[in-house]
Amino acid sequence: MIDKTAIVHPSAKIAEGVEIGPYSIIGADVEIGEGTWVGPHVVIKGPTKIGKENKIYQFASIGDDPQDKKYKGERTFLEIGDRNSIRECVTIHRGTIQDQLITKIGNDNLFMAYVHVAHDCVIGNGCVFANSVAIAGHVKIADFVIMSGMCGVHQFCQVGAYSFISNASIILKDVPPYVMITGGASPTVCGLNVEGLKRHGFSPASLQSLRKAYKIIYRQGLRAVEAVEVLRSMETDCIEVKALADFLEQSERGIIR
Amino acid sequence: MIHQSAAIDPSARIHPNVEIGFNAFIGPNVEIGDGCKIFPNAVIFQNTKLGKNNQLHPFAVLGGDPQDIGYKGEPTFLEIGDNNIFREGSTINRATTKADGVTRVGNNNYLMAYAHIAHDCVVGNNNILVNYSCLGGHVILENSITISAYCAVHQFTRIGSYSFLVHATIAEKDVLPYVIAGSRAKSTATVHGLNIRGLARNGFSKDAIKNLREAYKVMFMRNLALEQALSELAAMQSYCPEVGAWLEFIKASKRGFIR
Repeated sequence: MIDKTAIVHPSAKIAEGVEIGPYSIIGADVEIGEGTWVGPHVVIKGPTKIGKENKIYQFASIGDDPQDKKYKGERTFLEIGDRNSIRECVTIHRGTIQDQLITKIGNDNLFMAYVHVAHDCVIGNGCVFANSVAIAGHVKIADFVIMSGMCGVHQFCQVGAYSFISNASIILKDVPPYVMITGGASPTVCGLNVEGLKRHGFSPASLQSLRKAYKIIYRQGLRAVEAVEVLRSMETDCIEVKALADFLEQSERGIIR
Repeated sequence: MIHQSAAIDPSARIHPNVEIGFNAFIGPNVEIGDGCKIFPNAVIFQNTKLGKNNQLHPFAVLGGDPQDIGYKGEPTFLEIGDNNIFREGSTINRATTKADGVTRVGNNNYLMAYAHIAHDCVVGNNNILVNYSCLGGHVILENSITISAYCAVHQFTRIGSYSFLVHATIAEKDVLPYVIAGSRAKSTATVHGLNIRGLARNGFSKDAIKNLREAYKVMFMRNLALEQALSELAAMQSYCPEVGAWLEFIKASKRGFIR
Protein backbone atom coordinates (compact mmCIF):
# COMPACT_ATOMS: atom_id res chain seq x y z
CA MET A 1 0.00 0.00 0.00
CA ILE A 2 1.33 3.40 -0.97
CA ASP A 3 0.10 6.33 1.13
CA LYS A 4 -1.65 9.03 -0.89
CA THR A 5 0.72 11.75 0.33
CA ALA A 6 3.83 9.81 -0.78
CA ILE A 7 5.37 10.67 -4.13
CA VAL A 8 6.52 7.83 -6.35
CA HIS A 9 8.25 8.59 -9.66
CA PRO A 10 6.54 6.91 -12.63
CA SER A 11 9.77 5.12 -13.59
CA ALA A 12 10.14 3.51 -10.13
CA LYS A 13 9.45 -0.23 -10.03
CA ILE A 14 7.57 -1.04 -6.85
CA ALA A 15 6.82 -4.73 -6.31
CA GLU A 16 3.61 -6.20 -4.87
CA GLY A 17 3.07 -5.82 -1.18
CA VAL A 18 5.48 -2.92 -0.73
CA GLU A 19 4.27 -0.41 1.83
CA ILE A 20 5.26 3.26 1.52
CA GLY A 21 4.39 5.64 4.36
CA PRO A 22 3.14 9.24 4.31
CA TYR A 23 5.37 11.97 2.78
CA SER A 24 8.00 9.53 1.54
CA ILE A 25 9.61 10.19 -1.82
CA ILE A 26 10.68 7.48 -4.22
CA GLY A 27 12.73 8.96 -7.07
CA ALA A 28 13.42 7.89 -10.66
CA ASP A 29 15.09 4.54 -11.36
CA VAL A 30 14.33 3.08 -7.94
CA GLU A 31 13.43 -0.58 -7.69
CA ILE A 32 11.89 -1.94 -4.48
CA GLY A 33 11.37 -5.69 -3.96
CA GLU A 34 8.45 -7.59 -2.48
CA GLY A 35 7.47 -7.10 1.15
CA THR A 36 9.76 -4.12 1.81
CA TRP A 37 8.32 -1.59 4.25
CA VAL A 38 9.18 2.09 3.79
CA GLY A 39 8.12 4.30 6.71
CA PRO A 40 7.02 7.95 6.62
CA HIS A 41 9.34 10.81 5.49
CA VAL A 42 11.87 8.53 3.79
CA VAL A 43 13.76 9.83 0.75
CA ILE A 44 15.03 7.28 -1.78
CA LYS A 45 16.88 8.54 -4.83
CA GLY A 46 17.94 6.44 -7.83
CA PRO A 47 19.44 4.59 -9.53
CA THR A 48 18.88 2.35 -6.51
CA LYS A 49 17.83 -1.27 -6.25
CA ILE A 50 16.36 -2.46 -2.95
CA GLY A 51 15.60 -6.16 -2.40
CA LYS A 52 12.88 -7.96 -0.48
CA GLU A 53 11.52 -7.56 3.03
CA ASN A 54 13.69 -4.63 4.07
CA LYS A 55 12.44 -2.17 6.67
CA ILE A 56 13.34 1.48 6.15
CA TYR A 57 12.37 3.84 8.98
CA GLN A 58 11.54 7.55 9.01
CA PHE A 59 14.04 10.22 7.87
CA ALA A 60 16.38 7.71 6.23
CA SER A 61 17.99 9.06 3.04
CA ILE A 62 18.91 6.25 0.66
CA GLY A 63 20.79 6.56 -2.64
CA ASP A 64 21.62 10.25 -2.51
CA ASP A 65 24.69 11.67 -4.29
CA PRO A 66 28.12 10.60 -2.96
CA GLN A 67 29.77 13.04 -0.54
CA ASP A 68 32.81 13.45 -2.74
CA LYS A 69 34.12 16.76 -4.10
CA LYS A 70 34.96 15.06 -7.42
CA TYR A 71 31.35 14.01 -7.99
CA LYS A 72 29.85 15.87 -10.95
CA GLY A 73 26.41 14.29 -11.27
CA GLU A 74 27.43 11.07 -13.05
CA ARG A 75 25.03 8.11 -13.15
CA THR A 76 26.12 5.86 -10.28
CA PHE A 77 24.33 3.14 -8.36
CA LEU A 78 23.28 1.66 -5.03
CA GLU A 79 22.21 -1.91 -4.44
CA ILE A 80 20.68 -3.17 -1.19
CA GLY A 81 19.90 -6.87 -0.62
CA ASP A 82 17.11 -8.46 1.42
CA ARG A 83 15.84 -8.28 5.02
CA ASN A 84 17.93 -5.30 6.09
CA SER A 85 16.68 -3.01 8.82
CA ILE A 86 17.54 0.65 8.18
CA ARG A 87 16.65 2.83 11.16
CA GLU A 88 15.95 6.53 11.60
CA CYS A 89 18.16 9.14 9.85
CA VAL A 90 20.48 6.59 8.22
CA THR A 91 22.27 7.88 5.11
CA ILE A 92 23.50 5.52 2.38
CA HIS A 93 25.09 7.03 -0.72
CA ARG A 94 25.61 5.86 -4.32
CA GLY A 95 29.06 5.04 -5.83
CA THR A 96 31.49 7.25 -7.77
CA ILE A 97 33.06 6.78 -11.22
CA GLN A 98 36.54 6.99 -9.69
CA ASP A 99 35.99 3.58 -8.05
CA GLN A 100 33.41 0.91 -8.81
CA LEU A 101 30.31 3.04 -9.64
CA ILE A 102 28.25 1.18 -7.08
CA THR A 103 27.68 0.95 -3.33
CA LYS A 104 26.60 -2.56 -2.37
CA ILE A 105 24.88 -3.83 0.75
CA GLY A 106 24.13 -7.52 1.34
CA ASN A 107 21.37 -9.16 3.38
CA ASP A 108 20.18 -9.23 7.01
CA ASN A 109 22.13 -6.18 8.21
CA LEU A 110 20.95 -3.82 10.94
CA PHE A 111 21.81 -0.15 10.58
CA MET A 112 20.80 1.66 13.77
CA ALA A 113 19.91 5.37 13.94
CA TYR A 114 22.27 7.95 12.28
CA VAL A 115 24.53 5.36 10.64
CA HIS A 116 26.31 6.61 7.52
CA VAL A 117 27.46 4.40 4.62
CA ALA A 118 29.50 6.35 2.06
CA HIS A 119 30.09 5.92 -1.67
CA ASP A 120 31.58 2.71 -3.13
CA CYS A 121 31.33 0.71 0.12
CA VAL A 122 30.74 -3.02 -0.02
CA ILE A 123 28.97 -4.43 3.03
CA GLY A 124 28.39 -8.15 3.53
CA ASN A 125 25.62 -9.98 5.36
CA GLY A 126 24.40 -10.18 8.94
CA CYS A 127 26.32 -7.15 10.22
CA VAL A 128 25.19 -4.84 13.03
CA PHE A 129 26.05 -1.14 13.00
CA ALA A 130 25.09 0.64 16.21
CA ASN A 131 24.08 4.31 16.46
CA SER A 132 26.22 6.98 14.73
CA VAL A 133 28.66 4.56 13.09
CA ALA A 134 30.24 6.28 10.08
CA ILE A 135 31.72 4.27 7.24
CA ALA A 136 33.81 6.34 4.83
CA GLY A 137 34.16 5.81 1.09
CA HIS A 138 35.51 2.62 -0.58
CA VAL A 139 35.38 0.59 2.67
CA LYS A 140 34.84 -3.16 2.49
CA ILE A 141 33.09 -4.87 5.40
CA ALA A 142 32.72 -8.66 5.37
CA ASP A 143 29.96 -10.77 6.99
CA PHE A 144 28.74 -10.82 10.63
CA VAL A 145 30.75 -7.80 11.75
CA ILE A 146 29.49 -5.91 14.82
CA MET A 147 30.41 -2.24 15.08
CA SER A 148 29.48 -0.52 18.36
CA GLY A 149 28.20 3.01 18.76
CA MET A 150 30.17 6.05 17.51
CA CYS A 151 32.72 3.93 15.57
CA GLY A 152 34.27 5.37 12.43
CA VAL A 153 36.03 3.65 9.55
CA HIS A 154 38.64 5.51 7.47
CA GLN A 155 38.30 5.42 3.70
CA PHE A 156 39.68 2.36 1.84
CA CYS A 157 39.86 0.19 5.01
CA GLN A 158 38.73 -3.43 5.11
CA VAL A 159 37.02 -5.09 8.06
CA GLY A 160 37.19 -8.91 8.21
CA ALA A 161 34.31 -11.28 8.98
CA TYR A 162 33.11 -11.99 12.55
CA SER A 163 35.16 -9.13 13.98
CA PHE A 164 33.84 -7.01 16.85
CA ILE A 165 34.69 -3.34 17.16
CA SER A 166 34.02 -1.75 20.53
CA ASN A 167 32.50 1.66 21.08
CA ALA A 168 33.97 4.86 19.59
CA SER A 169 36.90 3.06 17.92
CA ILE A 170 38.25 4.84 14.88
CA ILE A 171 39.47 2.27 12.36
CA LEU A 172 42.41 3.60 10.31
CA LYS A 173 43.89 0.27 9.16
CA ASP A 174 42.45 -3.08 8.19
CA VAL A 175 40.77 -5.26 10.84
CA PRO A 176 41.51 -9.00 10.36
CA PRO A 177 38.61 -11.43 10.64
CA TYR A 178 37.62 -12.98 14.03
CA VAL A 179 39.28 -10.35 16.27
CA MET A 180 38.06 -7.73 18.74
CA ILE A 181 39.17 -4.09 18.54
CA THR A 182 39.08 -1.57 21.37
CA GLY A 183 40.77 1.69 22.35
CA GLY A 184 38.79 4.62 20.98
CA ALA A 185 40.75 7.01 18.78
CA SER A 186 43.93 4.90 18.86
CA PRO A 187 42.52 1.39 18.65
CA THR A 188 44.34 -1.87 19.24
CA VAL A 189 43.47 -5.54 18.98
CA CYS A 190 42.27 -7.03 22.28
CA GLY A 191 41.87 -10.72 21.51
CA LEU A 192 39.70 -13.06 19.49
CA ASN A 193 35.96 -12.44 19.33
CA VAL A 194 35.43 -15.74 21.15
CA GLU A 195 31.86 -15.05 22.25
CA GLY A 196 30.86 -14.02 18.72
CA LEU A 197 32.52 -17.09 17.21
CA LYS A 198 30.78 -19.42 19.71
CA ARG A 199 27.42 -17.80 18.95
CA HIS A 200 27.97 -18.47 15.27
CA GLY A 201 28.70 -22.14 15.99
CA PHE A 202 32.45 -22.32 15.37
CA SER A 203 33.79 -25.68 16.61
CA PRO A 204 36.14 -25.89 19.63
CA ALA A 205 38.82 -27.22 17.23
CA SER A 206 38.53 -24.13 15.00
CA LEU A 207 38.72 -21.88 18.05
CA GLN A 208 41.87 -23.63 19.20
CA SER A 209 43.54 -23.20 15.80
CA LEU A 210 42.45 -19.57 15.70
CA ARG A 211 43.99 -18.98 19.16
CA LYS A 212 47.31 -20.34 17.89
CA ALA A 213 47.04 -18.21 14.75
CA TYR A 214 46.26 -15.13 16.86
CA LYS A 215 49.42 -15.68 18.92
CA ILE A 216 51.49 -16.03 15.75
CA ILE A 217 50.19 -12.74 14.35
CA TYR A 218 50.14 -10.68 17.53
CA ARG A 219 52.35 -12.19 20.22
CA GLN A 220 55.59 -13.15 18.49
CA GLY A 221 56.75 -9.79 17.16
CA LEU A 222 56.50 -10.97 13.55
CA ARG A 223 55.94 -8.68 10.60
CA ALA A 224 52.75 -9.41 8.65
CA VAL A 225 54.67 -11.10 5.80
CA GLU A 226 56.52 -13.37 8.24
CA ALA A 227 53.29 -14.18 10.11
CA VAL A 228 51.66 -15.24 6.84
CA GLU A 229 54.53 -17.67 6.17
CA VAL A 230 54.19 -19.22 9.64
CA LEU A 231 50.39 -19.44 9.28
CA ARG A 232 50.76 -21.18 5.91
CA SER A 233 53.17 -23.71 7.43
CA MET A 234 50.79 -24.50 10.32
CA GLU A 235 49.67 -28.10 10.11
CA THR A 236 45.94 -27.57 10.23
CA ASP A 237 43.01 -27.93 7.87
CA CYS A 238 41.22 -25.08 9.63
CA ILE A 239 39.75 -22.87 6.90
CA GLU A 240 39.59 -19.93 9.30
CA VAL A 241 43.38 -19.87 9.66
CA LYS A 242 43.69 -19.88 5.87
CA ALA A 243 41.20 -16.99 5.73
CA LEU A 244 43.33 -15.05 8.21
CA ALA A 245 46.49 -15.64 6.17
CA ASP A 246 44.69 -14.62 2.96
CA PHE A 247 43.44 -11.43 4.62
CA LEU A 248 46.91 -10.48 5.84
CA GLU A 249 48.39 -11.14 2.42
CA GLN A 250 46.01 -8.90 0.47
CA SER A 251 45.79 -6.11 3.08
CA GLU A 252 47.03 -2.87 1.51
CA ARG A 253 46.79 -0.52 4.50
CA GLY A 254 48.32 -2.94 7.03
CA ILE A 255 46.41 -4.36 9.98
CA ILE A 256 45.52 -2.93 13.38
CA ARG A 257 47.81 -4.39 16.04
CA MET B 1 10.53 24.76 -9.93
CA ILE B 2 8.73 24.77 -6.61
CA HIS B 3 6.85 21.63 -5.62
CA GLN B 4 3.23 22.28 -4.71
CA SER B 5 3.56 20.48 -1.38
CA ALA B 6 6.42 22.74 -0.17
CA ALA B 7 5.34 25.04 2.67
CA ILE B 8 6.66 28.53 1.90
CA ASP B 9 6.02 31.60 4.04
CA PRO B 10 4.66 34.56 2.01
CA SER B 11 7.49 36.78 3.32
CA ALA B 12 10.19 34.56 1.75
CA ARG B 13 12.06 36.12 -1.18
CA ILE B 14 12.96 33.35 -3.60
CA HIS B 15 14.83 33.81 -6.90
CA PRO B 16 12.80 32.43 -9.84
CA ASN B 17 15.59 29.97 -10.69
CA VAL B 18 15.40 28.02 -7.43
CA GLU B 19 14.37 24.39 -7.15
CA ILE B 20 12.36 23.47 -4.07
CA GLY B 21 11.46 19.83 -3.48
CA PHE B 22 8.54 17.96 -2.03
CA ASN B 23 7.50 18.88 1.49
CA ALA B 24 10.35 21.35 2.03
CA PHE B 25 9.70 24.12 4.59
CA ILE B 26 10.74 27.73 4.02
CA GLY B 27 9.90 29.97 7.00
CA PRO B 28 9.48 33.73 7.42
CA ASN B 29 12.08 36.29 6.31
CA VAL B 30 14.13 33.89 4.20
CA GLU B 31 16.00 34.95 1.08
CA ILE B 32 17.18 32.33 -1.43
CA GLY B 33 19.53 33.24 -4.30
CA ASP B 34 19.86 32.14 -7.92
CA GLY B 35 20.40 28.44 -8.65
CA CYS B 36 19.86 27.06 -5.16
CA LYS B 37 18.49 23.55 -4.86
CA ILE B 38 16.36 22.73 -1.84
CA PHE B 39 15.78 18.98 -1.85
CA PRO B 40 12.76 17.20 -0.33
CA ASN B 41 12.12 17.57 3.40
CA ALA B 42 14.85 20.22 3.90
CA VAL B 43 14.04 23.10 6.26
CA ILE B 44 15.05 26.77 6.26
CA PHE B 45 13.53 27.88 9.52
CA GLN B 46 13.59 31.71 9.52
CA ASN B 47 15.66 34.94 9.19
CA THR B 48 18.11 33.32 6.80
CA LYS B 49 19.82 34.70 3.71
CA LEU B 50 21.16 32.16 1.24
CA GLY B 51 23.43 33.19 -1.68
CA LYS B 52 23.71 31.47 -5.05
CA ASN B 53 23.97 27.79 -6.04
CA ASN B 54 23.69 26.27 -2.59
CA GLN B 55 22.37 22.72 -2.15
CA LEU B 56 20.25 21.63 0.79
CA HIS B 57 19.84 17.87 1.02
CA PRO B 58 16.97 16.10 2.79
CA PHE B 59 16.53 16.83 6.54
CA ALA B 60 19.17 19.59 6.58
CA VAL B 61 17.99 22.46 8.82
CA LEU B 62 19.29 26.01 8.33
CA GLY B 63 18.41 28.95 10.55
CA GLY B 64 16.97 27.04 13.48
CA ASP B 65 16.94 28.67 16.94
CA PRO B 66 20.36 28.81 18.67
CA GLN B 67 21.02 25.95 21.07
CA ASP B 68 21.67 28.30 23.96
CA ILE B 69 19.72 28.35 27.23
CA GLY B 70 20.02 32.16 27.37
CA TYR B 71 18.10 32.54 24.10
CA LYS B 72 14.66 34.09 24.64
CA GLY B 73 13.30 34.27 21.10
CA GLU B 74 15.02 37.50 19.98
CA PRO B 75 15.19 38.07 16.19
CA THR B 76 18.64 36.87 15.11
CA PHE B 77 20.02 35.91 11.72
CA LEU B 78 21.96 33.47 9.54
CA GLU B 79 23.84 34.55 6.41
CA ILE B 80 25.22 32.05 3.92
CA GLY B 81 27.32 32.74 0.79
CA ASP B 82 27.47 30.83 -2.49
CA ASN B 83 28.14 27.27 -3.72
CA ASN B 84 27.83 25.53 -0.37
CA ILE B 85 26.61 21.96 0.00
CA PHE B 86 24.66 20.94 3.12
CA ARG B 87 24.18 17.19 3.29
CA GLU B 88 21.54 15.13 5.05
CA GLY B 89 20.74 16.13 8.61
CA SER B 90 23.33 18.91 8.81
CA THR B 91 22.29 21.88 10.96
CA ILE B 92 23.30 25.56 11.15
CA ASN B 93 21.74 27.67 13.91
CA ARG B 94 20.96 31.37 13.96
CA ALA B 95 22.91 33.62 16.34
CA THR B 96 22.20 34.75 19.88
CA THR B 97 22.20 38.40 20.95
CA LYS B 98 25.51 37.95 22.81
CA ALA B 99 27.56 38.98 19.74
CA ASP B 100 26.36 40.84 16.63
CA GLY B 101 23.31 38.61 16.11
CA VAL B 102 24.42 36.94 12.86
CA THR B 103 25.85 33.46 12.22
CA ARG B 104 27.95 33.67 9.05
CA VAL B 105 29.01 31.02 6.53
CA GLY B 106 31.07 31.94 3.42
CA ASN B 107 31.39 30.17 0.07
CA ASN B 108 32.25 26.68 -1.24
CA ASN B 109 31.88 24.93 2.11
CA TYR B 110 30.88 21.26 2.26
CA LEU B 111 28.98 20.10 5.35
CA MET B 112 28.75 16.32 5.25
CA ALA B 113 25.93 14.39 6.90
CA TYR B 114 24.97 15.40 10.48
CA ALA B 115 27.62 18.17 10.70
CA HIS B 116 26.63 21.07 12.98
CA ILE B 117 27.52 24.77 13.04
CA ALA B 118 26.31 26.51 16.20
CA HIS B 119 25.11 30.04 16.92
CA ASP B 120 27.38 33.06 16.24
CA CYS B 121 29.99 31.04 14.31
CA VAL B 122 31.92 32.73 11.52
CA VAL B 123 32.89 30.23 8.83
CA GLY B 124 35.07 31.30 5.88
CA ASN B 125 35.42 29.64 2.48
CA ASN B 126 36.37 26.20 1.08
CA ASN B 127 36.03 24.35 4.38
CA ILE B 128 34.99 20.71 4.75
CA LEU B 129 33.15 19.45 7.82
CA VAL B 130 33.10 15.66 7.68
CA ASN B 131 30.25 13.58 9.14
CA TYR B 132 29.19 14.20 12.77
CA SER B 133 31.71 17.03 13.28
CA CYS B 134 30.39 19.99 15.24
CA LEU B 135 31.42 23.56 15.97
CA GLY B 136 30.43 25.10 19.31
CA GLY B 137 29.04 28.61 19.60
CA HIS B 138 31.10 31.68 18.51
CA VAL B 139 33.73 29.52 16.76
CA ILE B 140 35.76 31.16 13.99
CA LEU B 141 36.68 28.84 11.14
CA GLU B 142 38.96 30.56 8.63
CA ASN B 143 39.47 29.16 5.10
CA SER B 144 40.33 25.82 3.39
CA ILE B 145 40.17 23.80 6.60
CA THR B 146 39.29 20.11 6.89
CA ILE B 147 37.48 19.09 10.08
CA SER B 148 37.42 15.27 10.12
CA ALA B 149 34.66 12.99 11.34
CA TYR B 150 33.51 13.17 14.99
CA CYS B 151 35.59 16.31 15.69
CA ALA B 152 34.27 18.86 18.14
CA VAL B 153 35.43 22.47 18.44
CA HIS B 154 34.95 24.17 21.81
CA GLN B 155 32.98 27.42 21.93
CA PHE B 156 34.93 30.66 21.19
CA THR B 157 37.78 28.70 19.59
CA ARG B 158 39.43 29.88 16.37
CA ILE B 159 40.73 27.49 13.71
CA GLY B 160 43.38 28.86 11.31
CA SER B 161 43.37 28.58 7.52
CA TYR B 162 44.68 25.44 5.75
CA SER B 163 44.73 23.48 9.01
CA PHE B 164 43.53 19.89 9.31
CA LEU B 165 41.83 18.37 12.36
CA VAL B 166 42.38 14.62 12.67
CA HIS B 167 39.25 12.52 13.28
CA ALA B 168 37.66 12.70 16.75
CA THR B 169 39.79 15.69 17.78
CA ILE B 170 38.44 17.85 20.58
CA ALA B 171 39.85 21.32 19.90
CA GLU B 172 39.61 23.28 23.15
CA LYS B 173 42.18 25.90 22.19
CA ASP B 174 42.90 27.75 18.95
CA VAL B 175 44.58 25.86 16.10
CA LEU B 176 47.31 27.71 14.17
CA PRO B 177 47.04 28.00 10.40
CA TYR B 178 48.79 25.34 8.23
CA VAL B 179 49.08 22.61 10.91
CA ILE B 180 47.56 19.21 11.56
CA ALA B 181 46.07 18.94 15.05
CA GLY B 182 44.70 15.81 16.68
CA SER B 183 44.01 14.06 19.94
CA ARG B 184 44.90 10.53 18.93
CA ALA B 185 47.55 9.63 21.46
CA LYS B 186 46.49 11.94 24.30
CA SER B 187 43.08 13.12 25.35
CA THR B 188 44.06 16.76 24.85
CA ALA B 189 44.78 17.74 21.27
CA THR B 190 48.35 18.32 20.13
CA VAL B 191 49.90 19.46 16.87
CA HIS B 192 51.04 16.52 14.73
CA GLY B 193 52.84 18.38 11.95
CA LEU B 194 52.35 20.68 8.99
CA ASN B 195 49.42 20.02 6.65
CA ILE B 196 51.88 19.55 3.77
CA ARG B 197 49.43 17.77 1.46
CA GLY B 198 46.78 20.43 2.04
CA LEU B 199 49.28 23.24 1.40
CA ALA B 200 50.53 21.62 -1.83
CA ARG B 201 46.96 21.07 -3.04
CA ASN B 202 46.19 24.72 -2.38
CA GLY B 203 49.11 25.89 -4.51
CA PHE B 204 51.68 26.87 -1.88
CA SER B 205 55.12 26.93 -3.51
CA LYS B 206 57.90 24.50 -2.55
CA ASP B 207 59.87 27.39 -1.10
CA ALA B 208 56.95 28.54 1.04
CA ILE B 209 56.52 25.00 2.40
CA LYS B 210 60.26 24.73 3.05
CA ASN B 211 60.23 27.97 5.02
CA LEU B 212 57.14 26.86 6.93
CA ARG B 213 58.93 23.63 7.90
CA GLU B 214 61.70 25.73 9.39
CA ALA B 215 59.18 27.91 11.24
CA TYR B 216 57.39 24.77 12.45
CA LYS B 217 60.62 23.52 14.03
CA VAL B 218 61.06 26.82 15.85
CA MET B 219 57.50 26.86 17.13
CA PHE B 220 56.91 23.21 17.97
CA MET B 221 60.06 21.11 18.07
CA ARG B 222 62.82 22.97 19.88
CA ASN B 223 61.06 23.27 23.24
CA LEU B 224 61.53 27.03 23.17
CA ALA B 225 59.62 29.30 25.52
CA LEU B 226 56.84 30.97 23.54
CA GLU B 227 58.39 34.44 23.76
CA GLN B 228 61.71 33.22 22.41
CA ALA B 229 60.02 31.29 19.59
CA LEU B 230 58.02 34.37 18.67
CA SER B 231 61.10 36.58 18.49
CA GLU B 232 62.88 34.04 16.26
CA LEU B 233 59.81 33.81 14.05
CA ALA B 234 59.56 37.60 13.81
CA ALA B 235 62.98 37.54 12.15
CA MET B 236 61.70 35.08 9.51
CA GLN B 237 58.74 37.26 8.59
CA SER B 238 60.58 39.11 5.81
CA TYR B 239 61.00 36.02 3.61
CA CYS B 240 58.12 33.87 4.88
CA PRO B 241 54.78 35.76 4.89
CA GLU B 242 53.03 32.65 6.31
CA VAL B 243 54.92 33.21 9.56
CA GLY B 244 53.39 36.70 9.65
CA ALA B 245 49.97 35.04 9.56
CA TRP B 246 51.00 32.93 12.57
CA LEU B 247 52.17 35.98 14.54
CA GLU B 248 48.93 37.87 13.86
CA PHE B 249 46.89 34.80 14.74
CA ILE B 250 48.72 34.40 18.05
CA LYS B 251 48.31 38.09 18.87
CA ALA B 252 44.54 37.80 18.34
CA SER B 253 44.23 34.49 20.19
CA LYS B 254 42.22 34.77 23.41
CA ARG B 255 42.13 31.13 24.46
CA GLY B 256 45.77 30.28 23.76
CA PHE B 257 46.62 27.85 20.98
CA ILE B 258 47.37 24.15 20.70
CA ARG B 259 51.12 23.61 20.79
